[in-house]
Amino acid sequence: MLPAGRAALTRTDQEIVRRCLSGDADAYADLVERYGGRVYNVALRITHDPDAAHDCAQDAFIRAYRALHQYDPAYPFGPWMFRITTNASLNFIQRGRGREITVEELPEDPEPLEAGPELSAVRKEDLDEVLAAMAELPPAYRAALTLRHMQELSYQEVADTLGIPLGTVKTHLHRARAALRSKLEARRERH
Amino acid sequence: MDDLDREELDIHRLLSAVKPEPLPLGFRDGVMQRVRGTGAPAVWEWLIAAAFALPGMAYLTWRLALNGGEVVTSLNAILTAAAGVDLTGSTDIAIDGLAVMSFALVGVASVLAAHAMLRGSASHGMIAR
Repeated sequence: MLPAGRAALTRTDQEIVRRCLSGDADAYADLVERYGGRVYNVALRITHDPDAAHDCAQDAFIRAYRALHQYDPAYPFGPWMFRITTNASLNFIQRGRGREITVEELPEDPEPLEAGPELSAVRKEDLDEVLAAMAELPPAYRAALTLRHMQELSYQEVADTLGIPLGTVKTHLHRARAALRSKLEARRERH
Repeated sequence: MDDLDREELDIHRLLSAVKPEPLPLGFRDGVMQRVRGTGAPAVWEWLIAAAFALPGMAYLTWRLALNGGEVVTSLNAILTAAAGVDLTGSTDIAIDGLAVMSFALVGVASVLAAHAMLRGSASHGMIAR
């Protein structure tokens, strides 16, 4: 028999969800522990505001808890959780947090920049520059980039998380990357 | 990640190098506090609200059925005086202790019902936009 702490570690997400649904609210702490960091970072990259990210991440966990009966255990828990987090964060931005650039406002195909020495040089710079450039992108692009490149989800998982077709995700990501390269270039030229 | 395209490698290297920020202190406890505090269904709140409201409502309805005419006359007199049409008229409204208590009970019930409703609407929050 495993000690309680180790048993919790070996429990699958689906087992924990089952326990929560059968009335063991404390079991949810394991899911918060498991996904808290990633959920917070997704919210942080989308909102670009630590306080807002904290609120959105907490809100996402509460919403997820209340909607556990809607979760289909045939699918992994992570992307489902990220979907709620992304929605909470995008809704937060939509609820009048100043003027955000929308996807439609960016050129359809920003000037493609060759990935090469310029970008690898940028990589050596402070990574804050990258985050600052990312913050200038529309929230939908930030969400797609975060899920794909920071949380390392597959294209299909990003599509499921954002609730948009796979083709749209690919287009979004292609444009988001091109826009990010342009922003980085522009920032480098300014400095 | 095995589905990385060549064209996304550079950005991927860049973004995956960004270190994740640590979770704020007390985050888990904060979530669990809210889960324990708001997770239980609000059925009991509705039941208490109903228990408070029903006797009060019943008594007020009965009183209104019994003395409805007097109440209407009194309200009309008050409105007339308030509008400044006739400042010479006088009116009386007799409210018994039970009526006051009934109003108070209905008030408390409304607060409980409003709280239960807010909780309910929050629990049916958006999953999909």
